[in-house]
Amino acid sequence: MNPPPPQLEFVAVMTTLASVLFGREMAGIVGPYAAIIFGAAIGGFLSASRRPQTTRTATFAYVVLIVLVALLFTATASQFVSSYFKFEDARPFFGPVAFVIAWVGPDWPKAYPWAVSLVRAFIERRIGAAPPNQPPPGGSA
Amino acid sequence: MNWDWVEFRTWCAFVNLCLCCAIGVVCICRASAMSKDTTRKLTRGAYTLIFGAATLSGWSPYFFREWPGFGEWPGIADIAMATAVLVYMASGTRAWKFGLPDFARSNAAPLDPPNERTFS
Repeated sequence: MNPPPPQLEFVAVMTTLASVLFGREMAGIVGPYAAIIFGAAIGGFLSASRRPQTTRTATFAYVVLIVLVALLFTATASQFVSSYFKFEDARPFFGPVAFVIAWVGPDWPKAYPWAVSLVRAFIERRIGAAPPNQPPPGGSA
Repeated sequence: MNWDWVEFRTWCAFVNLCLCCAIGVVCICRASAMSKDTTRKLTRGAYTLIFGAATLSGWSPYFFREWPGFGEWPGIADIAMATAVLVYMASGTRAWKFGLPDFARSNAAPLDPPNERTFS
């Protein structure tokens, strides 16, 4: 007996595609990225509505770009934040960190000095360097 | 009649996703007319809320099902709600067609002084 012919109806094809694209396995992989994309989309929308008036295409491009930037930097920044707050897992910070990255958006150059001082303080804490104004241990004789 | 519940909820999720994507597109189009200096904070916040809620509602059965409290399949009620929000937003197309409308402005021009026709 011959096997039944494959279903090529529109509904069957769409259902198969959806099950492949949005299946449980894919959801497990995409899960952390979904948190980043969601947080970055909200922050990107807020910063897009803060920018001067532009065209619709430019706003779409801006939101997509800022989500991509957040995808690039969120994992690293979340590692910093989680180690600063002494958390073992960085994943709970993915969404909030992506939101902040996208929310600040075009104003990051203004936040650059603050970010540099933050990173410097973090590195000094990690290597155990003494602050410059602290007297040496044992005091001055 | 053999009712395929799984296929029904899959189609409901797909229709809900399309509606929520349309809501998100409308939100981004309106965000292009907004700016920090000219737009009321309430308007910006409201559209941010709608954009976030539409994103969550549309993608929830697909990508957020691992999160606690998310991932439930949408039904007819969710589709009706998304349709209502979309129709409501589309009803303001004329007001937003040529830029930011007066009710969304933080720097709107003051009303004209009352004249005789106002009180007649």
